[in-house]
Amino acid sequence: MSVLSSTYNWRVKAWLRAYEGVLIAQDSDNSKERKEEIVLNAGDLNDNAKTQLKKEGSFLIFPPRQFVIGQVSALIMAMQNEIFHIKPRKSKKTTINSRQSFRIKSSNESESFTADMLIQWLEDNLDISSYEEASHLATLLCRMGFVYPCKYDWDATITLPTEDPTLQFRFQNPYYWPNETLSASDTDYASHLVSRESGCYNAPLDEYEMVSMDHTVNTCTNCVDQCWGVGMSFNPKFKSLIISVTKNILPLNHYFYFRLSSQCNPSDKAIKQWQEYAFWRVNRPLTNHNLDSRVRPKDWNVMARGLNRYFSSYVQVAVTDETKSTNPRSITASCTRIIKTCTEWINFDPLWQDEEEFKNPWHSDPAKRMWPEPSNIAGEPYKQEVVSWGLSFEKLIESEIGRVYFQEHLKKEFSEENLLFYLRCAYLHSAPLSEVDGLIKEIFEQYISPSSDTPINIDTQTALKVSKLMKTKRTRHTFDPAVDHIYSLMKKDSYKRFLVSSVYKAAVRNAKHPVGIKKEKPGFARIIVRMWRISQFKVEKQS
Amino acid sequence: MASDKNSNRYDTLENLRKEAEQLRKKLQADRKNLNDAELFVMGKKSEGGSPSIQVRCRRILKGHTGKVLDMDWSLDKRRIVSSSQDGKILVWDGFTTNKEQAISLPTTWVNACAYAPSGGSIACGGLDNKCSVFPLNSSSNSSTLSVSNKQNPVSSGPADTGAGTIMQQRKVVAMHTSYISACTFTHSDYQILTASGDSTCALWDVESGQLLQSFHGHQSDVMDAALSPCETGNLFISGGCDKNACVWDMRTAKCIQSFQTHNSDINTVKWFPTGEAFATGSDDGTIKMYDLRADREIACYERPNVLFGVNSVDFSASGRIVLGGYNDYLVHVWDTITGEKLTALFGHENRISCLKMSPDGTSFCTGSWDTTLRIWA
Repeated sequence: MSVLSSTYNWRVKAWLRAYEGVLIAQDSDNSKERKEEIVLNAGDLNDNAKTQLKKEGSFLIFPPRQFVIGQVSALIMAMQNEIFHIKPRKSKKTTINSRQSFRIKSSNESESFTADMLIQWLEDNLDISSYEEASHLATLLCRMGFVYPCKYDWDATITLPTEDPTLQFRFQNPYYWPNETLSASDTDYASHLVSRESGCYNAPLDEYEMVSMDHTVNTCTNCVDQCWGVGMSFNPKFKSLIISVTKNILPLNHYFYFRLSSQCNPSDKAIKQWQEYAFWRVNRPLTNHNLDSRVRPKDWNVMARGLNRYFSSYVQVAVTDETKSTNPRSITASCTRIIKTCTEWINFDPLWQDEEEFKNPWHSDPAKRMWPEPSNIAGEPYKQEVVSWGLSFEKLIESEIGRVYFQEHLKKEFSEENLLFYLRCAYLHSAPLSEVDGLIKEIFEQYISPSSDTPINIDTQTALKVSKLMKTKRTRHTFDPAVDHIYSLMKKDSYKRFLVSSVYKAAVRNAKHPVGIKKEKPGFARIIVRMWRISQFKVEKQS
Repeated sequence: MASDKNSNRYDTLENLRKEAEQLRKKLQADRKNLNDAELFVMGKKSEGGSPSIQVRCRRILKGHTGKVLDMDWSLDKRRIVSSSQDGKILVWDGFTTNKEQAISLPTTWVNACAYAPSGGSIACGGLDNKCSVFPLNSSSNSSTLSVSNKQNPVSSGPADTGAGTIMQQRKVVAMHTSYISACTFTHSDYQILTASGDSTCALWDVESGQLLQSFHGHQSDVMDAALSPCETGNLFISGGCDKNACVWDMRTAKCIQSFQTHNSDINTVKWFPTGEAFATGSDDGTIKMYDLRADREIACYERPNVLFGVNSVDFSASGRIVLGGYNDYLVHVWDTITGEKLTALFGHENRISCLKMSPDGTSFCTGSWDTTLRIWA
């Protein structure tokens, strides 16, 4: 019985939690201090947004831009409960940034597991059918920073399962989960690297980390110089000074309090060091494979816009949905239509078909350069296309050759001008602005005005509408009533007769599969018959 | 005093929020009662079973040096234009994987690119808030700058001589007040529809650069816009960061219908082949299908293991298959009418940013943040 048996529930919860997590950040005694600290960290906000934040007071800091983090967090929490059969922590404060979470409360974080256990759990509980997908998901969890391996020098390109089957993994402390309020800033990184170099940890620095350290320490020294005056940075003990100085600059930076808490026993301390190491491995990787590290343009916009927008749109949800009328019957009709479309056209879907019926040009080797000739050059369309004309009028009108055949047929019925008018109006819809006036005039003179050679047959009502539009305002859509009328006329009337006409029947007979298919070797007799038929058709065409 | 006021405001807002959440849950529960995935129920009855999809990666297009953000097919079914974060736009012959042309824009994050129906020009836009149109060399059969894919990305030599004149031939068509997130040509080379981060969509005339029609109604960035495939259609759909999917009439510039059932930003919208329904993909990891006539959501494609957001969605030629490019580096393939997940396609090494079906439905192409494009068939 999985916790995740009802996907709807935990998705809603995850969304709520991500939403709440940010609201609750305000719900503390030291609300004033918290507010200031977070504004300082919000480097991306412009000045307007910052002043707005300070004014508004205790409101949302950032909307949950990354919905996926909320979802994955909920998944990890469920996993922690299940994988070790440990009861969830029952603390009233559900904040993950609370200072109470310093202590390693339950053994969730100290218990380790192998990659296989993790993948197995995912496969069993998340309805994943393939091992490949489960291991891929496990890899992503590791790369995002929710789970970390207990070894040094692991990179962001790690894939699970690793080659070492004994490698143990642990869950990361919720404090270090990727979220909006913990920023992996350079000063924090610098202090981490410095403390590692000085030997507090067992982990020696990598080459790239040494380079980073020099770089970030330089930025810190500039910081120091600016605040304390030039010269302080030349103090021989300046490296350790950095830590205390930056502590003063960002007095309420959570990260320091979290790290330097003296309330932990030695075994917990080792684990905390691991967690911190893992956090920095994820946030400052050698290769920049970090998942959501790059902010997209839409994220900048939302952060700059402020948060009232977010609230207002949220409250509107319930209101607009309620006013919609529910009409169960039409749903059935829509579903029937969709299913009908899918089943009708399934034979024309290259992704669904097998190779015998239709040779997909992409399956062939590019060296052989087998790209089917476009039917225009050969002069005759392919079988699939011709058959598709029979199924839908839209397909016939869409294809160039189809239009030619249709025009042939209409010539015999003396209603060719319908199609020509329709095509001209379609061109008018998306014609360049400079041509619009000329086109309207031309179409009117040629097809609609009483003095034209080839008037289209529309009823008086439509004609009146059009002339009214012509007088009041001439736009691209002036002829739209006539266009709609002609279109439905062609679809219901001429199209039906086209399908039984000799023109179409000849096309169906003569159509062939694209080059490259040898469906069956035609016998000699068949070739002769085919050639005769083609010649017959050509004769028909000419006459 | 201030803190009291603040806490009062906070309380009432908190109450409002709880109420809104309750209403929302109730609505969703009601909706579930009315049509419990009716499409899927009917779909399972109609078809016996779903055959397996044999789709593999057939081509890998390497050449970009930055994340690939958008791509488009040409109507000749083999040429592709792709744009990336480093400002480069490449025109490829997908079949031979040769690069035919390269254009360097002075801006980064070229979010949108589109191929003209005639194949004679391309449009692109991004962080510069503009949509520009470039004419292409006449290269229907022969390519003037064909560089084999084994060499390094287009060397500066041939590109420079072309680039100088290309930038001169550039025409700036659209001007928005925020980044361009999507652009597409309408049924001809002369009109462009753009969607922008300033929460509007707009229709532009290419020759004069004039704004023909502007569509206001979204409350947050518009992420994608798609034109109706019907010949007589004057509709287009747009999806935005306010979780709304809107259907617009191009003649009147009004929003006819709007749907809001997603839990997070909508990243992509695509029409069903017949133009009666459309699908949207969102950051909450679900793909939802809405029907115009039924005026509601009729299908939701989700799984508990599909956690990551959808960046791009497309239908197969018949509409039977829905493909989604996700942020977990995979393409998940769904059966439209039964709602089953058919398969997941591995291959990319970073999130997939764009996915598009070729015009004849024989293959689809995906572009990813790992700087490559892959063609699958």
